[in-house]
Amino acid sequence: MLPFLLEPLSYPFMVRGMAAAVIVGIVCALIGSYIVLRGMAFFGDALAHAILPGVAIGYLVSGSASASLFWWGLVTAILTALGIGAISKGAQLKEDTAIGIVFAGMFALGIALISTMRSYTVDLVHFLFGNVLGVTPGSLLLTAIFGGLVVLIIVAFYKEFLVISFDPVLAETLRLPTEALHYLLLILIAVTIVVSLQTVGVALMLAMLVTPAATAYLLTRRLPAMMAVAALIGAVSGVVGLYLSYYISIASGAAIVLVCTGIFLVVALFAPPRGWVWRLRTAG
Amino acid sequence: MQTLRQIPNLLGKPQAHLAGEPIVALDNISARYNGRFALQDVSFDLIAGEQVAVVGPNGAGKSTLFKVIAGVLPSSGGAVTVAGSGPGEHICIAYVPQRSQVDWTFPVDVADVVMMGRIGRLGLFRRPKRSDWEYVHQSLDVVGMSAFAERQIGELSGGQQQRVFIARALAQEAELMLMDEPLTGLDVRSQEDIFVVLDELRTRGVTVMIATHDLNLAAERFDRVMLLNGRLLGFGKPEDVFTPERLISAYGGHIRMLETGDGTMIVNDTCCDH
Repeated sequence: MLPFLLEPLSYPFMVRGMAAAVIVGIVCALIGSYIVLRGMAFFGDALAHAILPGVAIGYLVSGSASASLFWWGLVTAILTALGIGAISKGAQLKEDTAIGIVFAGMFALGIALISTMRSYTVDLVHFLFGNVLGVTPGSLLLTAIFGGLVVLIIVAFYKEFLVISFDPVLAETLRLPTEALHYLLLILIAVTIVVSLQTVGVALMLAMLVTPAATAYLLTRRLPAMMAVAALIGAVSGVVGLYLSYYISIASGAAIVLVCTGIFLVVALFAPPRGWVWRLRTAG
Repeated sequence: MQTLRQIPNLLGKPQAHLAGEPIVALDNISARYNGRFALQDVSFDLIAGEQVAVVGPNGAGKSTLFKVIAGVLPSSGGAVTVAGSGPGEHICIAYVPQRSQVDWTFPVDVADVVMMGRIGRLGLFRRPKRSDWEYVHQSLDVVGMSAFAERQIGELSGGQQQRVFIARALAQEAELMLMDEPLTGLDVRSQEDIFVVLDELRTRGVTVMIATHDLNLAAERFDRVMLLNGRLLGFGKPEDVFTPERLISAYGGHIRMLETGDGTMIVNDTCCDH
C-alpha cells in the first residue's frame, strides 16, 4: 500500500500538483459555502467562463508563462465580477439573463482568441479542463499566496458575510457597509476562480465551488462546521483525484471533480440528517 | 484598523437620543416600491414605549412603511426622524421580518441568529466577547427560548421562530421594533406567547409597531391602531379608527361587519399567510 501511495510522489510535478489541488480544494470549498447558501452558482459558473478572453490575451502577449496568465486572469475576473454586480443592480433585464449574455459573449471571445494560436486544441483543453500536473513552482507560489489571502479575508469578515447572506435587511439596520461587503465577496469569488484555473479549468470550476460545499451542507448544522467539512472534502478530492488520474490515466481535473461528485452522491443518499435514505427511514 | 473605525456609520455608532423628541416622526412620507407609489403623504408621531398595530390589506404598504422607518428603503419625499435624527444614524431600530422572508434551511442555530443582533455593536474584526454571549442568553430568556439555543432554526415551530427573531432584536438593544406580521399563521397559543413577550417589551419601554391582518386582535390588544392603504386612513384608538366608512375605504368589498349584541364584530376575509 505504501509504495502504491509514494510512487507518484517521486515526481516533483505530482507533488506540486497535489499541493495545488489541496489549496484549490480548500479555498473553493470555503468561498463555495457562500455561493451555495446565497444561490450564486450561476454567477460563479459565468464568472469562470468569462475570464477566458483575459487569459487568452495573456497567452497571446507573453506565451504560456503562467505568472502572466495569472495576472491577466485576475484583472479580467475582478472587472467582470464588478461588471456583473453592477448589471444585476441596474439592468432592465432579469439578472440571470444579463449574466448569461455577458458570460456567453466573453466565453466566445476567449475561444476566438485562442483559435488564432497554432496549438489551439491543446491550449483550449488546458484552459477548459485544467492542467494541474503542469503547475510550475512559480504558479504554485501564486496559488498559495492568493489562496491564503482569500481564506484570511473570509475569516476576518466571517460575521459580516454571515449577516449579509442570511438577512440583508438586518445588515442594513445594523448599518454595516452592505454594498462594499457584497462587492468584496464578488472579488473573493473572482480571485478564487483565477487561483483554481490551472487545477480544474473554467469548465469544471463550478464543481469545485459548489459540490464540496453542498455536500458539507447536507452533513452539518452550523456554518463554521459546514465550511470545515467542505474544505476537508475539497482537499481530499484533490489528492484522491490525482492518484486516480495517475493510476488509471484519466484527465486530472476531471478525476478531482468525479471524486467530489462521488462523495456528494454517497452523502446525499445515506448521510443523516438530510440524506435521502435517512429521510425515508424517519418518514416511514 | 484605526482608520477604518473613523469612517462614519461603518461601525454604526449609536446616536444619543434627544430627550423630548417623539421616538418616530413621519412628515409627508412617500415611497416607491417596485416602481409604484406604495406610500403617499403619510405623517404621524409615535410616543416612546407605545405599541401600535398597523393594519391594511395586502399591498397597503405596511412592509414599505417599516423599511422606510428602519432606514432600509429610501423615501421619495418627506422626512423621517427617529428620536430626532435620520434612521440611518441608529442601530437601535430592529426590523423583524415576516417568517416567509427568512431562509429557515440556513445552517445557523438559534444562538447564532440572536448573536447577529450584536454585530452592529461589535465592529469589524472583533469576535463576540463573553458579555455578548450573556446578552444573547438573556435575550433568549426574555422570550422563553433559552432551552432551544443550540437548535437549528428550521427545527422550530412558527411561534418559536418568531420569538427567536424578537430575541435578536433584544440582543440588538433595539428601542424601536418593527414586526412584520409576527402573528400571521400562528395558532392561538403561539399568538399568546408573542403577546407575553410584547407585555415584557412594554415594561422595558421598547416602542413596537406590528403589522397584522387581524383587525380583531389589533382592536383588542393595542392602545392605538393605524389603518393604512397607501395613505394613512386613520391613526388612534381602535373605536375611532375602525369605523365602517374607513374600513370600507381601506378594504373595499373585502370586509364584513356584523352587528351583534355587544357591538360591532369585524369579519375580515382578506387574511392570508403571507
